[in-house]
Amino acid sequence: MSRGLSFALLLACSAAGLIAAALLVGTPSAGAQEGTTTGTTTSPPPPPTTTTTTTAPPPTIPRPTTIPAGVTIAGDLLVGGLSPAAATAAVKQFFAEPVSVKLGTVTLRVTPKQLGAAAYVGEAVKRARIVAPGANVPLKVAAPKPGIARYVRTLARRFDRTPVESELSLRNSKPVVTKERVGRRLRQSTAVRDIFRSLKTHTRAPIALHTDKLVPQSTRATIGDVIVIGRGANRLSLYDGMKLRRTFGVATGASRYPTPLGKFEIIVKWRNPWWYPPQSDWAKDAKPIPPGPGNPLGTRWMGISSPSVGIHGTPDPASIGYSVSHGCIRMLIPDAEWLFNQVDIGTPVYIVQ
Amino acid sequence: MKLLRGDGPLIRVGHRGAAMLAPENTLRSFDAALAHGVDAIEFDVVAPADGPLLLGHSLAELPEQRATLDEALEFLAGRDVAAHVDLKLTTRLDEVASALERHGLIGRAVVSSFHRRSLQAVAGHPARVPIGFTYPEDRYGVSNRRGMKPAIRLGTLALRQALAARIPAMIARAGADALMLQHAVVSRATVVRAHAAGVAVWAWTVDDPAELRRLDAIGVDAVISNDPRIFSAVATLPP
Repeated sequence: MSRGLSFALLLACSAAGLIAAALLVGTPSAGAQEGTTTGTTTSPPPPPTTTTTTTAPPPTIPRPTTIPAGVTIAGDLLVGGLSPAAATAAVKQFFAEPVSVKLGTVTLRVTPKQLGAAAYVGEAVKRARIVAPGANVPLKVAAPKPGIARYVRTLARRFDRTPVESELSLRNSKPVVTKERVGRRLRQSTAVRDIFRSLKTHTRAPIALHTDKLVPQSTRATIGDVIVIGRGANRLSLYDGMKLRRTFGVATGASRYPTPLGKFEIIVKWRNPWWYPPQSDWAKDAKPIPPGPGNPLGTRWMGISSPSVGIHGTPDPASIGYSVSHGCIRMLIPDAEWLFNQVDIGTPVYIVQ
Repeated sequence: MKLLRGDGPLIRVGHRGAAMLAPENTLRSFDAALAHGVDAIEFDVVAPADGPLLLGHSLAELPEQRATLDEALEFLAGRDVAAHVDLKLTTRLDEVASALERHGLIGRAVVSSFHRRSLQAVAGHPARVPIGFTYPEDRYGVSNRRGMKPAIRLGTLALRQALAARIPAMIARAGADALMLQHAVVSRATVVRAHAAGVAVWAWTVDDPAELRRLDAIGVDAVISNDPRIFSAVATLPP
């Protein structure tokens, strides 16, 4: 009976010793997991493993055998000559080294743990103890893609930029085009793949992130032609975006038939149009006039998005510079022909005071 | 629909709505045509790679304010006007016919194309939509191109002579209810021969009231114009 009891006590003590040893082996790994220090291989061997609560002599604790000389893990990490515990700590620290990603001048670091990755450290050290001196032991890594993808999505939130389109408005009777901004979109699948590869191959060189350029459709350069008509000054200016191209004298509506103010666009373009009397008092006895000299529309008609109003040539050059029309914008015939060839359906037309 | 004018007045058709007055192939253009009085509205239909059939002269020329075929037909169904659908597609033809049927427009619609097989596909649909064969095909829009006018005129005058003789054969091959002919090639002999076969003659695209008057006088059934104002203007021209 007493022999059995003392045997049980001995067993309990040796178990306690083993647990203590295991704990001691485990402790450096916590520091390594933080991944903040940059040193790698030369951590000191752990202190001799003596337990505190010894009630019996500790003869059964296995003396750590050192790893054969020259053995490496994961290609680079020399663990030969280290105790398994020291090697474990070293490998953990080695693996915990953060991955860095780089975009432009910004470099970000992320630990494998944050990426949800883990290395089979114990397995590697176990093998290291039994391989021939100078051999290399691979370090297997579990790096689930969803964890990496989650991190890459946070990168995308940080780096992605939506493109901003240029917008056209009028200030002091001049077109103003807001500056466009090119957007960018992180190539997420490429980033996931590169980070995954970096974890698997134990490379910690900065990973360059790639983005796609998102070009706005409307830019200062592409906003194109803009027509601004000053009703009071009887002038028509053609701009290319904000840049003035040409200005013409025009005739606009008389006070009884004012040219409408506002933002319009060219909706139709016709060469050599017929003139038809509009449904208006002043034209009630008029007859249609075929194309040719004397046609009130000249040779070109650019209808704008205001009913029955347009920019056209006139056979009456003397009217240019005055507010005498029935609402339309008259130009000299060669001017109207020139303008006709510049503008397109959809070209904005601002009519201001 | 009634494709022949019989003893009645010329059938007035707005080209792509009223292309002279508003952006073509849009509902706005339809409104502009109706405001000036038309009996039918002609418009083009294209088939995008996916999505509903759209109004447009080609996929590259879709108007800014796009309308689907369904929207256009719904618009026309609610108004006292006929639909002249010009096919700018050679696929999904059954969709065109069934859309006309769905909107109750079979009785006042005509479908035209220069592509004989497309027309036959439409004609083969149980809805029995009337069909019009377009001639000549102006695939490259040369008739609108500057500098081509004199050549076109000579060519069309020659065609005008030759066309009348070919009318019976053309009708037999196309199996059409109407011939949609470029206005310049239409002569009185052409109209007489077509009518003898019970086939209507529609002339496109006429923006000159004097030409409209000529076509009216030789008995053309319908005239398609960018500018429906010519229909009322022609009455005011000196004889």
